[in-house]
Amino acid sequence: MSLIENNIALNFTFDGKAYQGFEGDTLASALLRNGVKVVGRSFKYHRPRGIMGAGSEEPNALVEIHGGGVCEPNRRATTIKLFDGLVAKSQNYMGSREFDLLAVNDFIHPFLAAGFYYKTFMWPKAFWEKIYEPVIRRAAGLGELTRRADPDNYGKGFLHCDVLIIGGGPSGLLTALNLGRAGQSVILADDDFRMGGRLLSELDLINDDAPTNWVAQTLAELESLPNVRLMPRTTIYGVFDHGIYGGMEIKTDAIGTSGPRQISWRIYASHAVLAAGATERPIAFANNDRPGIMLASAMRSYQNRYGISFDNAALFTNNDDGLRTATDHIFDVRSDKFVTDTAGRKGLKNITSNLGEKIDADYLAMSGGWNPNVHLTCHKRSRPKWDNALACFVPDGATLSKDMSVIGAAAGHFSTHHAFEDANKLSAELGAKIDTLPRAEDSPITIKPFWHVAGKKRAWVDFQNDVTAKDIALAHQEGFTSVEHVKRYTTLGMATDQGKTSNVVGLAVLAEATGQTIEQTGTTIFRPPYTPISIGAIAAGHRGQSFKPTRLTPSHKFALENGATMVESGLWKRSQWFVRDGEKGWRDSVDREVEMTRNSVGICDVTTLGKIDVQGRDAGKFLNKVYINTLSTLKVGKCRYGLMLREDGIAMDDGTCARFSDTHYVMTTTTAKAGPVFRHLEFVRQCLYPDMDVHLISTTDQWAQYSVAGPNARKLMRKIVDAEFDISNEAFPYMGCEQVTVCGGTRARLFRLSFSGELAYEVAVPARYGDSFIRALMAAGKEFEVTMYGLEALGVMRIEKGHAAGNELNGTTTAANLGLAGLMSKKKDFIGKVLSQREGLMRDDALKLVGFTCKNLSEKITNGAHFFEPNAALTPENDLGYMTSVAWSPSLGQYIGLGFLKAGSTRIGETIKAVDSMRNNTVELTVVSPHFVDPEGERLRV
Amino acid sequence: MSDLTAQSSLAGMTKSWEGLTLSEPSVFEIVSVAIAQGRENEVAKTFATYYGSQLPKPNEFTTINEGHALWTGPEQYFLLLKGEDETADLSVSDVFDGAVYTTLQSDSWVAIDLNGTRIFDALEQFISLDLRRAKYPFAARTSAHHMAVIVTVINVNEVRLLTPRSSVQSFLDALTHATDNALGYPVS
Amino acid sequence: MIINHPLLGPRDAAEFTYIGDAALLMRPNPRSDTAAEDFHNYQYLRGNVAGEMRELWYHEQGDRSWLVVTRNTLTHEISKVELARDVKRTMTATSKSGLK
Repeated sequence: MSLIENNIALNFTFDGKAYQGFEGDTLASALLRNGVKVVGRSFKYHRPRGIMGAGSEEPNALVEIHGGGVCEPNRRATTIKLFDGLVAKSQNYMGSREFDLLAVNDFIHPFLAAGFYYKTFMWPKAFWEKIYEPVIRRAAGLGELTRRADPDNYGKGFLHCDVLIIGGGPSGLLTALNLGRAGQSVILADDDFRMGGRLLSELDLINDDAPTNWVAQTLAELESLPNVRLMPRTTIYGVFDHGIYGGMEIKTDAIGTSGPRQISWRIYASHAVLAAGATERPIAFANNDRPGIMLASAMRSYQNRYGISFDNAALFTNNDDGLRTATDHIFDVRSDKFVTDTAGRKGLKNITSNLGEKIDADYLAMSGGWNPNVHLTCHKRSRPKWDNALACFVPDGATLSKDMSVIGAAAGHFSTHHAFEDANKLSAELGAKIDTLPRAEDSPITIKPFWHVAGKKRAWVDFQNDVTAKDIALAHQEGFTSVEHVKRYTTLGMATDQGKTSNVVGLAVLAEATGQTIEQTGTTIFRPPYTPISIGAIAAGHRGQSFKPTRLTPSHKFALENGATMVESGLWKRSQWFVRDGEKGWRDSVDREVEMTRNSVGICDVTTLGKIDVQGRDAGKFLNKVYINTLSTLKVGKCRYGLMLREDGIAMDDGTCARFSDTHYVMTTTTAKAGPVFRHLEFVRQCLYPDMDVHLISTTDQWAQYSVAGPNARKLMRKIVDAEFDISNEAFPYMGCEQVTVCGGTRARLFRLSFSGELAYEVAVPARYGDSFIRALMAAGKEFEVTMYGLEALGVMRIEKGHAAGNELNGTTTAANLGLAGLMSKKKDFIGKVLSQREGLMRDDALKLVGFTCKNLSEKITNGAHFFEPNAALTPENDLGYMTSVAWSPSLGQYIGLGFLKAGSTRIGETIKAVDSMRNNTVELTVVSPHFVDPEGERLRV
Repeated sequence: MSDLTAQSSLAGMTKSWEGLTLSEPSVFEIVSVAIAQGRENEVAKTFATYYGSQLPKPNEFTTINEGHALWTGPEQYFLLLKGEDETADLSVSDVFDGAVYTTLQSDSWVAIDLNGTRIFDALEQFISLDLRRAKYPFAARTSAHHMAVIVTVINVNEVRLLTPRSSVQSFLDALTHATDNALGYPVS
Repeated sequence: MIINHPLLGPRDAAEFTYIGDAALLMRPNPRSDTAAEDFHNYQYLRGNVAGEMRELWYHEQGDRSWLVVTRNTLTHEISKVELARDVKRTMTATSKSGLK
């Protein structure tokens, strides 16, 4: 019997050599059929290794898949579905797979026992960094990274179902059939590319017919049910809270094809059925790791599913199940026959028994018993319990999550009949009507617990991490008696196979060493993921430019047409400056934008600043709670600056509020804080004052908003704002707001606000007009030589004016530091009031925001510099504060800075030293007022 | 007559796969309506009279005589009104005589229509809600790829998504990627 | 995790922002003689609960309502989800009437 499609040949290469396999092969089965014995080298000792298993438990056959100039390392050959054109390479050798220079490690193995790096390579101390560590590093590790970008595309999705069935073997298939027929929504997932579990590899009949026929009939019916979703090649790798499961679906292992390579699924299920089967254990005996030695169940898979014959094979077993394997020689522990040694470094040659015989053999099947795959039951803190009769761990029903049931071999119910019985019983409990019980084998479990043949030579327990029974004994001898310590000290169970074949044998060996029972020894816990999963699939489309969303302003297209250099501002792309012909560096553009704006008129897109609509009878009262100053007294048609604190008294954000009616305010926030401020406002509204009549909504994207600033701003605006609205200084003074129309009737909002310090307006139109409007503004401004200005020029101008921005509102500063203590209302309560008055925040020598200029005008100020008295030593005790904002001021023709200086407002005119240790820049500065340009604010009010 | 021209973010974009077409619907206005405290009953009555339908409940997408309505939060709703009227919020406010607070939201959101037989095959790689088993017509606000989205399911073959204007290009890229993965590459 | 929103039904926790202890609902009286100490405790002192705890979650990617979620910090089981404003109103009513 075989499930291979012999008529479809597939060509592949392994370590550069060409081979042929067939549709239905894994890379492992194809290599075995082609007589390839050595598939890799072991981790530490670099011993030649062959294929040991047939599934995800495989510890030896780790390969790299190559394609498109990149490679994916550490894949198990047993779980790669063979495809035409596969290029695979073995791992972990220096030289070649067949002739590995690092095999010298095997011969110096006494020096490489568990924990060797704590005991050897310690002296001389200096040698560690220069010699030992680099050498060990080069020799260690599994696989290699190409360091090139992954060319493949990955997906991510969400699925919902009533029941998630994990495992498509007999118990899973029958449960899916019962529940599917009952109309429940079912997902059946199996990590193999064929459903059927062990039924694909064993010969016992079901309903007097080949088991694969029962599988095929069941699958045909399941495929016809619209409420059943079959997910082969999908590993359920993790159980999370509240019925959420992580699934990883492999679409193809080929690199560089179109379509997603893998999809990571978040599955929401009301109930989960763990029908994940069991994994066979090896037995530890001397030299049990040679190529040709494999698990008995794997040998049967290769024989029955993949049609490969193993001539001259032997069996070493402690239970009846192993006896199902067709072999020529049997060593049965229950008849007191053991394998005590093997020979054949590049492929098994002969076996030595305890009776002293030496028997020729090319293959040896090991059967040490079966471990139910209980891993997923542990992800939510249930611990499996030891079953003495079955000699394995089974799930602990008492601590199992209520929304998970375990059936079949995963529950320690090993016969096919028992699996079917479990399926029907559970299906009935879940509300399905049961029609039939398929007839199947019901062999009893007879096992003699036997883990380890004692002896002097190394007997492997963890094949992937090269941990032997001796290592475990050594760990115990050195005082590591807890299973958690032994695991970490020996690295038992810590490889990419996560101890699937080694954990139980390892702790049984430890139990023998300590004289305790296995129950007393306990087991380490399992955590997600069940098998290694790729980070690419978890990230899916969130890579490169799509890592996070990009937000564009309404003038984005126009900006690019006009030479804008963009900068990321949170999620936004904002114009940093606009390059004109002949401008060589950013300073050329920025200085020009500042000069042109201050001399005539400039326009900046300020859409990104948060805009929050605050409406309600209690809108004013609400704003009084969040701002330090009073907003309820703001008149309709006026704007007011506001500062918001956190409850601990630290400044959170600032902005302006405009009042359009008794019940309608529009608040602005800084760009960066738009989200957090909205969250804070909703907290205050819902959690602190739920009885206030006030509603909030964000309108940041709703309105395209532009700042028009400069002495010619009004002249420009007169061409834009429709004639019936009087925007003279008398009718519309500084800090006014009004609902107007522009350009012949388009609805707009007009604010007389100025961040630049010039005569300025902010004008907003519904964003649908944003592009059209900026073009209209620029056309209207042409006669005034209007310039677009970007974030840098905006920054230079606000620094020239001494306005605080994000650099100053840095999460550690208070209203007092900012020089805004005077704004704090003494009458009303507001968020942050009480804690802002803590002694430590009110000291006389508290930091104060001041300005700085260089004493020597040819020198430069650098941001982040710390202040000291001119002759003080550079110690933390002498630190007087730090610089927060620096710019070349075109208006003053020199560098200026803003920063926080202890008792700064009393030190105007004095000299201090600014030290920037990172850029090696120390300068002497004069402390000045932070308001460099038009300190009286006359230009604002014209 | 205004000199300014309104522009949609999608410029009439359409895209087709086997079983799914994306397109931009004709213009409609979105008005956010929030009920003043204490006037809930009055508003419910006025709404029923004027719009010919009950106020929508959470997860519902209702038809009203000028378009559609959906619940967005406690005492908060979106009215989706047919036609073009950038002062729609003022008109709606007039209907309720001060009992509601309205805001224009049409420009905050971009609408994308999905039509076809395989909508949910694509959306299962995009949105975490259980759309297949929801009760239609359905509306809910959630997120997709870190962007806000309002999903309205009219029926199994008709879905409309609303997403914030400023990130619409990223949204479309993500939606296209999910659809490519689920349905294969576009046919046009 | 899944949070069973009282109005919307079950939603993935990814739609929410977590802020912490629901004790934040009880903002102290700023006019009290012990205001400084009360606010210090309110802002900085928290019980480190191993077991059932009431937490504040904000449905940022949904309906923007604040919720009080009663969740077991050991098992993650959520036993109750309420609108924060309802909880706050009950707390206010209780403290006004003098009942504990």
